[in-house]
Amino acid sequence: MTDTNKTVRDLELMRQFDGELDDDLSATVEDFVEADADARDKMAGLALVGQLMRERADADARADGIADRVMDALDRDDVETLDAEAEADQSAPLDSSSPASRERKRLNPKPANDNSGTIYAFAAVAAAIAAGVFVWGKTTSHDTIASAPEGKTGPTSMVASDSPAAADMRGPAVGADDSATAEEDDALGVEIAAVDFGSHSGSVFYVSSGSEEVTAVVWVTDLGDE
Amino acid sequence: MERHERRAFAIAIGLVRDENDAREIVQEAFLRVYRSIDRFKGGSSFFTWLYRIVTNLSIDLIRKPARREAELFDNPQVADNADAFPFVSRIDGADPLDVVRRREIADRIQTALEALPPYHRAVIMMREIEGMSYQQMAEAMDVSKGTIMSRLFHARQKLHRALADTYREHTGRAPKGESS
Repeated sequence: MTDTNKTVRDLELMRQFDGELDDDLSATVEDFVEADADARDKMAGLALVGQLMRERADADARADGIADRVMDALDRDDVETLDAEAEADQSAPLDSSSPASRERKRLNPKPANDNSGTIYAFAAVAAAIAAGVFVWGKTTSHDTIASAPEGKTGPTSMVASDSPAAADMRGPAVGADDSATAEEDDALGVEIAAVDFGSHSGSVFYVSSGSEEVTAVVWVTDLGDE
Repeated sequence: MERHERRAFAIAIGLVRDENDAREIVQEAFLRVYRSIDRFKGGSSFFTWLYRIVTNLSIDLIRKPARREAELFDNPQVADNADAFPFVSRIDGADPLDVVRRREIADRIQTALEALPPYHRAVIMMREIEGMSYQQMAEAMDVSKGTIMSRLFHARQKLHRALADTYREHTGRAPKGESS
């Protein structure tokens, strides 16, 4: 038997073992295996290799509990960061970043796309505006001006009255209490709101110079230097 | 579930050969499966789907340049000429030495498996552990069935060489037909 014929025979034995031959050829190979001791040994070798590989795989407990941990992760809040990945084709190869690094990134409590800082800042501004409205509603005098906070202070930003940011900041405060504004339409007034930015505190001054325009001034105190 | 965790892990670690990476790949695969369960149309085994994801994640990882370089330094070639192993078919459990033999053979096979090129290792893992068909493997690896068949054939020959070595040490002679 030539090497080529032997290889062809071995290949057919392998395909027979894997159930990949068509019916006619499979029957032929089956007859051959029954009559040939070497072929039977090779088939037995194929079976043993597979069996031992499966036994070894089934005995390895290093992966135990992974599915449970995944379910736990899905129950937590980090599912939002997984939505984009879930949209990917389930069977397609991954993109350029490694699974390991992505997994670590996903399980990181502060992922790269964490916008919580921005959200907290806007929440603080909204709280300041609400507080300003409250103070303003309680104030009967139109020219109330609070003194500057003590400590190392300074105006860190001034928002132009016609800017979108200023509109965002002042919108709820100005429109929140229509009854209070009714008698102040044409008066110059300053409204003050105390703001806690976490590591900083400060005040927001809303200076209305006319019936429409309001200028917001943010005054921040660095608590760490006090 | 435990069995599938272990088999998925076996496929992953068989390919990436790093325990942490393998564990994370399996975790990622389960995650994708759970997140996309409503889009599972059937047509193949649910766990075949899982294993396919594991395989693709693993292949993606080992395709990285740093990984390929590592493979070059960690991939000793094994001899290709395997042949008949008559003692194998007689390991039926009746002989107390069978336990020892099986363990030894398993260790040899594992060593040979780790010496395989990654793509050969991939097909033998997919075939033997998961039982994927040639067509399924071809789709998972994005190659032709012929390529899968070739890789599987050569991988098995090398694993059988491990059997041959064990046979030779047990019997003091080469398996029938082996040219040494």
